[in-house]
This record gives sequence, C-alpha cells and structure tokens, in this order.
Amino acid sequence: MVGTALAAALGSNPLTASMKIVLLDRQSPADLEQGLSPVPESRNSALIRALSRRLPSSLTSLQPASVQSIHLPGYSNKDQQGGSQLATISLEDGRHLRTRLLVAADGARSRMRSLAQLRTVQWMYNQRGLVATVRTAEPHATAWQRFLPTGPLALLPVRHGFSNIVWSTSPAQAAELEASSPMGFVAAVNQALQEPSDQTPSGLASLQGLLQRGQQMPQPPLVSELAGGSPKSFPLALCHAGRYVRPRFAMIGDAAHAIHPLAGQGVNLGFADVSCLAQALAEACEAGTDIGSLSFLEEHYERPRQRANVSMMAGLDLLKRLFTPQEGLLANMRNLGLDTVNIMPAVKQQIMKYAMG
Amino acid sequence: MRAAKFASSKLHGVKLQRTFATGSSPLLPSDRSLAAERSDGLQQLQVESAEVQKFSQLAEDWWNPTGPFRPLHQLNPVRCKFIRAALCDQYRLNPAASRPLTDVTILDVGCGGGLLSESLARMGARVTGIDLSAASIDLARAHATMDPQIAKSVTYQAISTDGLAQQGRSFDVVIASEVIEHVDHPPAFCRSLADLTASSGTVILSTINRTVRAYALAIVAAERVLGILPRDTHDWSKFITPGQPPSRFRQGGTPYASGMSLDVASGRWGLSEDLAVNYIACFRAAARHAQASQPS
Repeated sequence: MVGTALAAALGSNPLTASMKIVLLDRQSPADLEQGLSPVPESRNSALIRALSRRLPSSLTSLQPASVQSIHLPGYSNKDQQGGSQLATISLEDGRHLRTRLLVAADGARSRMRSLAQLRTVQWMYNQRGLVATVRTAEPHATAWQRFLPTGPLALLPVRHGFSNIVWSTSPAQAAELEASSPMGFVAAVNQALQEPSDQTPSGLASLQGLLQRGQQMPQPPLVSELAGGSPKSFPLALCHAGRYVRPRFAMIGDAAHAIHPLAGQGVNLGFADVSCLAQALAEACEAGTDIGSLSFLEEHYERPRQRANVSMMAGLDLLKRLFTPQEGLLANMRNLGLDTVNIMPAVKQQIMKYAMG
Repeated sequence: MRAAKFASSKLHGVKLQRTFATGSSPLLPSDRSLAAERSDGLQQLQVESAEVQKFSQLAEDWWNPTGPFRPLHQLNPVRCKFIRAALCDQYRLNPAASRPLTDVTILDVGCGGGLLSESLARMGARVTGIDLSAASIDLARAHATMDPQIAKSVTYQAISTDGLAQQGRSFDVVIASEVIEHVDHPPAFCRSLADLTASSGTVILSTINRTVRAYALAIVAAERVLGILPRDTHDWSKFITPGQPPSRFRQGGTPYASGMSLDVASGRWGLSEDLAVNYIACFRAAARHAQASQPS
C-alpha cells in the first residue's frame, strides 16, 4: 500500500509526474484486494483503489512479478567514483530492469531489505498481535482501546457494522483465542471490553471522582459475531533498520520500521515516509540532482524520517511500558493523568493531530 | 568591524574540519605563467597553469560529496535552481515540467568533474563541458558513462574558451560558475564567453564578490579557519563585482541576480538578497556589432 501511495504522490506533482516508474508486486492486483479483508469495501482495499486512480500515466505495473536478485552499487568512495552505476533488478521470469532508485515497500519482513543487506535492530515484546473481523450489535464510529493486564485490545470501526479487532496479548492467551470457537471468541472479547476495572486506593479515587464528575464515559459496543476467517496472530516486535538508504536504494513503511500496534500508527508512519520521499524527489528534479545519490537520500529522506520515526517508536515503547502495570503508584498516576487529559479538549486535539500526521 | 561581526555570527557553533592535506604549497607570483600573445595581436586568454594544477591534483575527488569539493556539492542544488528559474523565465519555458531545458544548448565553462553539467543534462539540456584540466575532463567523461541518459546529453573537451570559439561554436547559454575568480584577465575572459554565446543568448556567472566582507568570509573563514576550502583556493584580487558588468553583456533584468549564502552551522546554501559574498547573475549577450578590440 505505501508503495502505491508513493507512486500516486509522484504522479500528482508535475515535477515528478513524467518519471518512468515501475510498480512491482509478487501478487496480482486482484489477489491483493481479496487477501486483505473479508469486509466488503474494507479500509485498506478502499485506500488502494483510491490511490490506484491517481497513478501517473507513465507508470508500468508488473504484477505479479518476483524479484530473484538485485545489484546495487557499493558504498566505498571508489565505487562512487565509477559512478553510481544504475541499480539492476533481475526478475524470476528472466527480465532485467535498471533503475536510478529502487524503493522497497515490501513490509516488515522485507525481502528487498535482506537482499540489500541492511540490518535491523529488533526486540520482541513477548506478545502476539491477534487480528480478527467482527460485527457489532450496533454500528459505531469510535475506535476503542482497552489496556488489559496482558496488553491492549482495540476495536476499530470499519463500515456497515463491521469492526476490526487488534488484540495484543501473551502468546498463551493468543493461542487459546485462536483455538476457541467463534462464540467463545466473541464472549472473550466482550468480557475483556466490558468488565469493570479494579478499585483504586481511596485518596486518588476521590480525585478521580472529581475529574470524572459530569463526564459521561460511554461504554464500548457489544460484539455480536465473528466475521470472515478465524482470528490469526503474529509475534509483536519492534524492528528498526539502522539505515533506511544506500546508494540507489531506499526503504519506506514497515520495511524500514515495524512498531507495536498499540497506537495504530504503523501505516501513518509509512504515509509520512511517502510524503517526505516524494517531496525530496520533486526537489531533486528541480535541482537536477541524481535521485539515487547516497548523500541526497541521507540528507532529504533518511535523516528527517529516522528522527521522526525513532521518537514515535520511543514514545510508543514508553506508552507500552507505562500501561503494563495494573496496580501500584505508577498505574494510579497514569490513570489520573489520562483522566486529566480527557477533560482538556485542547490537549486532546493536539494529541489527535499528531497521531493523524 | 562590520565584516568581523558578520563573520562571527556565521561562525558560531561550527566544528572545524580540515579537508585538505597541509602539504600543498601556496601560490607564489613566480608560479604564474604569462598570457601568450596570439599572432593577430589579441591577447589569448590563458588560465594560469598553476591554477589548473591545483584542480588537477584534486580531480579524483570531484565526485566525493564529503571531500575537498564539498562546498561545490552543497552549492550545486541552489545554483541549479537559480539557473532553471532564470532560463525558464528568459525563454518562456515551463518551470514545473520535469525537463524544461530540452533543446537548449549550454556551455559549462570550467566544468571540472561535471557536477553542473550533469545536473543541467537532467533538466533536458544538451551540454558541452570544457575545462583546462585534462584530468578533470577524463574523470567527467568516465562519470557520465554511468548513466546512459547523461552520456547521451553531455560532451566534454579539454580546451580553452578561445580554442572553442575558434572552432566557430556557439551556444544558447554560456555558464561560468565559480570560475572567473580563478582567471587571470576577467575582462578578456568575459569577452571570450560572449564570443561563444549565440546572438541574444544568455551568459550566467556565479562568483565571489569583491568586497571586504567577501574577503573576510570567504578567504579567511572558509579557507583558513574552517578549512572548508583547500587553502589558497581564492585570490582576492581576482574577484569581480556585479557592479562591473563586462562590456559585452547587459543585465537581463533584476530577477536574474541573486546572492548565495552558506549557513555554516547547517551546511545549507540558499538564495538570498545579499549579493555581498557569493552571487549568481544572468546576463543577456548584446547583439553583435563590428568589434572593437580594446579590453573593457
């Protein structure tokens, strides 16, 4: 999706609209839309369709096409002297492509990243992210997230009464949920969302009572049934590439950085990468700069994006650690802090603006 | 005093870097070669061979963005944007197009390793790059072969402006960027640039302005204190000011001159209204008249 977004962004700027672009994907467009969600008109497929309408006319789509190998120029000054030879991509069907810039947008387990020999820093969260699609008793338009002892459970509205569940939980509970019956799963979700939380100590409770007075805290909707396939889970890890670029190569989206789903920021960071890189490429066109040159990619893409992504990731990591404890002073201070923010609309607006990019 | 104040505000917080080997010898008057006389009495323009040597020794490093030519790499995007805007305005081309200079012929005088030539080729121009340093020309040719589109659009020659003019060549646009300050006789050099420009064509010069501030900032600061440029790259007596329009040119109009300044702390160049240090200007070549051979 971020790859298509980049192509669309380039198409919408006259400076970059006539660049020769090739969009490669292992899956055909039909498979891509189908595989994403059982929900008709799901968020992702709607996005992809909208982006596809903005692709530049100079774009060539090679879908499906598999990459067998890539050849990128080296880093050393001697190699740079020789040029910055163009990059070569060899496809499994025997075709070869040469390009001034290869952009990898192939997700968290990026194959391009390993072919380009770029390393990542990873740590596992000892949690699995479980995803499923459900129907709610009533249609709703609010994204809910409840922080449970084992991790956050998110209920995200889609359309027509469908919602997505993203439940970060322990490997044991994830296995249990995956193995449960559809009704069992629905019951577990409802219990997790609706169950009242434990009491806080009296001193802080009266302060909380003060803050919550007059605030009608609505309840999350009841989930009525599981839609589509059974729930699936994947291991949660933070994964960040040490370098996003090398000569003639750049990574965007999850290929460069995979984060905890707790704030729903993953694809937002990817879109921010797209915006930054598209802008940089337009400036390069204006100044006649070689779009594959390492110094250009470092200065106009990698440096600003790493700074932004790392601070977001650090913030999320902090949030995750902050929300893990369920009792004790830290938990109580945190709850008090959230209640305080809840009654300050200006602060909430700022937070929302930041999260929406 | 004023120059010192300006210099200090720009120098604040900068890390000192040596970018040039300290073994180089300073330019001595006795090293300079004399300009040769042509048989028809016109003085042949000859950039001093010692000047050329300074660049030939560094030829390998032309394309190293962190090497001794780092300031030129940093300057390049800004001067290219100026050139693009000025030429689009001049020739009514579309600045938002991806290759607006298609079919424009450009001569890049003192092209060195081809930094400017390649950028202009990417904008669609047909570029000829010339330099007196054969080593630089060899490197420029080798670099251009890496990208087939560039290889088709740029040709290089190790030749002087006079030599090229004698071949009867002429170009829509002649650019001498960061060159004139290295030339022995700027007025004669400008005459040769005009000779190479098509009637009502354009000459673009970028150079360091000759003011006390330029001296303080560019030479003292950049060369000696910050080590940004190899020592003795610039000789103050060679700077020309935008107030001395070479006689064969007339100014193309106010939008066509701009200052260029370096924010030393961030390493970024930008266009500015301050012409006092580095500037770039675009001149319309005057229509051809019967030639007077006095130097201007």
